[in-house]
Amino acid sequence: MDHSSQPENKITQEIQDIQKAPSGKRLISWMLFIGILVLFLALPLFGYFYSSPSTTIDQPTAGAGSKIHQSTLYALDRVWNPGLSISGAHQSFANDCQSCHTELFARVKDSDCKTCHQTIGGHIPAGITTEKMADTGASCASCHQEHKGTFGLVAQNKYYSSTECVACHKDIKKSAPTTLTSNVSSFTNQHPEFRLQTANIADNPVSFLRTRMEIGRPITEKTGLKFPHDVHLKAEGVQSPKGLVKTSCNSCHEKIPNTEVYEKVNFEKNCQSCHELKFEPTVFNRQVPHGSVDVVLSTLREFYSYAKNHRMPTVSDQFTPSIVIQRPGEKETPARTFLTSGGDEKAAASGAAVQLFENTSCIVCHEIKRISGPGKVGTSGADLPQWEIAKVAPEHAWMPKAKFPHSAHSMSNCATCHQAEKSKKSSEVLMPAIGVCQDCHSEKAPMQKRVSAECGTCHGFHNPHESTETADKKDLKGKSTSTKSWFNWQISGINKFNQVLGKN
Amino acid sequence: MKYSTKEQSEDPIHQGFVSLNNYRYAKVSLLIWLIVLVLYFSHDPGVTPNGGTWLGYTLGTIGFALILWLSFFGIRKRRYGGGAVHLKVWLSAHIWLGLSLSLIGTLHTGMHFGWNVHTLAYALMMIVIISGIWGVFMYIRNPSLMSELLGGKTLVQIGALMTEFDDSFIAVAKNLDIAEKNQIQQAFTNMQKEAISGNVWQKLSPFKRASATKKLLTYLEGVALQSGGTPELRELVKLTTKRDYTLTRIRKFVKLKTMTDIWLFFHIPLTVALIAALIVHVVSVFIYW
Repeated sequence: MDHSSQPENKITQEIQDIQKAPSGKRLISWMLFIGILVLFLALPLFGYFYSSPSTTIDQPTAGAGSKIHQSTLYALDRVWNPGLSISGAHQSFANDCQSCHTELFARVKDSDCKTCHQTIGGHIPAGITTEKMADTGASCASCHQEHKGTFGLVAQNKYYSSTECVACHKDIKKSAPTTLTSNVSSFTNQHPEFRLQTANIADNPVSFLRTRMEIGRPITEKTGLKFPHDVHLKAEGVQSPKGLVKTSCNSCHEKIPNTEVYEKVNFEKNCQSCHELKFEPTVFNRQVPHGSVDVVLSTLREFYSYAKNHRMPTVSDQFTPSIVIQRPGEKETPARTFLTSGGDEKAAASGAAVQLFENTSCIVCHEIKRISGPGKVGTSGADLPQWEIAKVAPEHAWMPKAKFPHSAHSMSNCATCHQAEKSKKSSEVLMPAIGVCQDCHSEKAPMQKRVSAECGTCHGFHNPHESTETADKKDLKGKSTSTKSWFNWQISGINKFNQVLGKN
Repeated sequence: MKYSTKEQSEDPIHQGFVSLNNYRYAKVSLLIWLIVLVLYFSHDPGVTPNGGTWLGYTLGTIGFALILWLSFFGIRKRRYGGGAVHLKVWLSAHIWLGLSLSLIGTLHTGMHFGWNVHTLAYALMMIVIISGIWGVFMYIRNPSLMSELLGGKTLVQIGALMTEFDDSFIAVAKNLDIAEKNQIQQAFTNMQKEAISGNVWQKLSPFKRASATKKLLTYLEGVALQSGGTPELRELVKLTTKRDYTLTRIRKFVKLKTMTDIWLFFHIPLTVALIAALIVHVVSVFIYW
């Protein structure tokens, strides 16, 4: 073996090369290290400091509110975006990080959110002083967590905000010493009874107050109306001019299609087919309008003035009119005619008015009081006897702070929650206690045969938008048949409640 | 691991690096897996599991520290003087804790991936871990196969054998007395130009290339058949056969050595890349907090 004799032998050289540890790792390592730092840190930072001005997404309604912010050059900072899960509504500017992240090394500020969400209401109702409230440190982002999935940030809170709520509400007096809100730590085990908002029609204008429900002490509300639900929901039916008529909840409470709102009960639509406003049995198709006292009296005065002097088409003797001068459910009383009885036209109108107001019609539902005349100046009925109809409570929400979609509960019947069949007085507020909800719902932790309910399932966090509150004042006077006005009724309740609190 | 259990002893030198101290670090790793899994599935992350919950930050911090500690092995193994803890103990802990990092890192992501620097860091981490697993198998399997191939000799000695065969070939070929003498000498010179190992692909697939030695052997056998076979020619065929056998052994050895070396080309540079991505990951998360 004289391999030493050939030091430059090719084979020997190759064998030596094979035995060497492979080199080049250090170079590759440095290249990768610097490459990554440049590409993913230096370049995006460069892009950040060479930002160009850009507007926040177009806001046609906000007008001058559109804010100019900086946009990173070529959106180089998008490589920092964690995951692909910006919420749906924000995806149009998902690559424009600076539209929300306006400051380096700082959390997104509420003011950043309010660039677009300008009219969002706060958590504490306006009008209640916040001076004594401890700073809870809550921000928009405490509940609305971005970069967590494509579903909306509001939908998110319907299911995941309970822990955040309970953090303050388990000992709410600590944050808000003057609040009337009770502590809540769990829907299933520690949630106070509901508070019902009732109207006080004795006040002018009508005031509202929320009272906590207590077992064995039902909350009542003077409505100014007589309406025994039990009579109208009898299984065998209720007496009507057409005989026994079976009525159900839906006969009077009609849901407006595609909304969660029920049509306001309307006399002409829901009551008059049974409770006719007839006054003269010989002219059986004539009724007074369901309106103010002077309109009714004027109608009577004008009718008899004409009818006493003209030949009216009357009911023939052979035909016994089934006129409804009676209380439904009560025995028929003989019909009285004022057309053929003695006396002048004013006496006839007066007689009919007394009959209508005090015996047959108005008094059936309303609280009425005879007052001294004369009536409204310039109306034809001013010289007739006069009455005052008690104020009727305005339509309003009993649970203004709660969301309750009736459509989502359509598998239950009304009586599951509203015990109307047993209710004898209209003053009984037929709202269920929390126990009824707890029969089907439990909090987030899954329970057998229970649908889970987070705080956000029933409660909202924000006060209504400023703009809606303004609209509400107008709607209070007008009719409320839309979703919006239903919502406004709720707000008005809150506002009145705040006023009450303010007084205290 | 049969290879490592052969030599059970108190001294780390006589133990396998996987089963060291009765699988001590395997047990630690398993415990980490269990704890982390229980925490992950009992944790209520709110909207969706993510790295920003208390558990997310905890896993992230532990993962980050673990990556730095695992990388430190690269520095520790170069300190030949050693420290208080034997290098093999370090290696055993490096392997098993490195495996537990795969779960810690995966759960830290909350299963959110995208085309961004965060997922880049995760992908690099997983490639480093997988290349590490590859390395472990290579280090368990290859050293014994390689020493079998060398058959008690050193690689230099085997290389010297090749040189010896070639020297003899030249000497015998000089005495050839046939018409093909020049062609044979020319074919031999051409064969010598062929490298033993070649590039990395040739190193990894030694049997897919048509060896020049084998071609020469086939040619010599053909000539021997035609000319009836002179003693010199027979000697040349014998020498070339031996050379082919030896070359094949070297090439098998080179393949095993390359397989054992190559994973480090992923494991080390990608670890460095991972540290860079990790720095960007942490910084960028707080830049846009």
